Amino acid sequence: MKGILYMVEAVLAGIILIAFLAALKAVYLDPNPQHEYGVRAHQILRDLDERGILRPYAEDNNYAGLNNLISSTYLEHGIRICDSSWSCAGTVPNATDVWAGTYIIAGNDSFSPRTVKLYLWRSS
Amino acid sequence: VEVVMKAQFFLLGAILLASLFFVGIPLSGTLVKTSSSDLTYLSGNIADEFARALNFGLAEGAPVYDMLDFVRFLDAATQENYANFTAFWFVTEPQGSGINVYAGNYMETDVNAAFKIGGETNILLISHDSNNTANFAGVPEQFAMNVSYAGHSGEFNLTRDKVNLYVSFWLVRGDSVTRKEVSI
Repeated sequence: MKGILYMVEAVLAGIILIAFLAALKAVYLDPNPQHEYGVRAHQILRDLDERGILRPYAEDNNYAGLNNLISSTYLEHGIRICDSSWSCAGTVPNATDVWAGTYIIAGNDSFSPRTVKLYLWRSS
Repeated sequence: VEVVMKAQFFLLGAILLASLFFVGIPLSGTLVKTSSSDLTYLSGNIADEFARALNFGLAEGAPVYDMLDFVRFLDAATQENYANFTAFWFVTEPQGSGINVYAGNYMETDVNAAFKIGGETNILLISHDSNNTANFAGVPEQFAMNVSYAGHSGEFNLTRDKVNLYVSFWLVRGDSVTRKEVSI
């Protein structure tokens, strides 16, 4: 009887320990919780704009060139650029969980509005 | 028997403490969450781009039409992000010793906008997705203009001999509402 009780205790302790570690990982160790990926994508685009890189690429609809400037160790990424007539360069990724950040520009050297979307998704 | 009871007591205590830990996680969520709404970032981005749109328009000699085009573009761009965009703006341009006021409405309804400088008031009826113009003659170099539209009002201290822009815009998604004002 005592042995069974010890076994139940051990099982419960194991469950508690695993749950604790899982919670710790999810809450404290994940640098980019999933709901923040969209914001992170926007920040990456803003950073590229502040460094003077984004607008020339956007003006030329060079989504591939812009995408090559982004590096991510554990997320796949893709760029889509749309102009004011909603003619778009680049494609929406075919993945299950995709986060997107949007950056809007009025133009580069002249009025020529674009939306630049950065898609982030987990590597399969 | 006493030893077994103690063990059970500690076991129950451990479960209770573990439960409190999990219950407490949402309360301590602010430790890692910053602003989770992308509307905040998007509205900041849009506010910055209004100044560029105006400057591009001025360089091309079409500030008013570029502003209207840009606002239409913003509406479509924000719809793609599941947000509803509305805006009201005006641009003042020097016209001799007076000014022209170009006011634009993208509030999804027609708006009566009143512009008052000194004792002179111009009231413009502006349809949604369009703009209208008022002229003021004999304006001082530094002047205050009272503006009221759609239940909003404000006083703006402006310089006659420069182009001034004011924009107020809203982004709405569900219960989340972000309003920003741009004044340059």
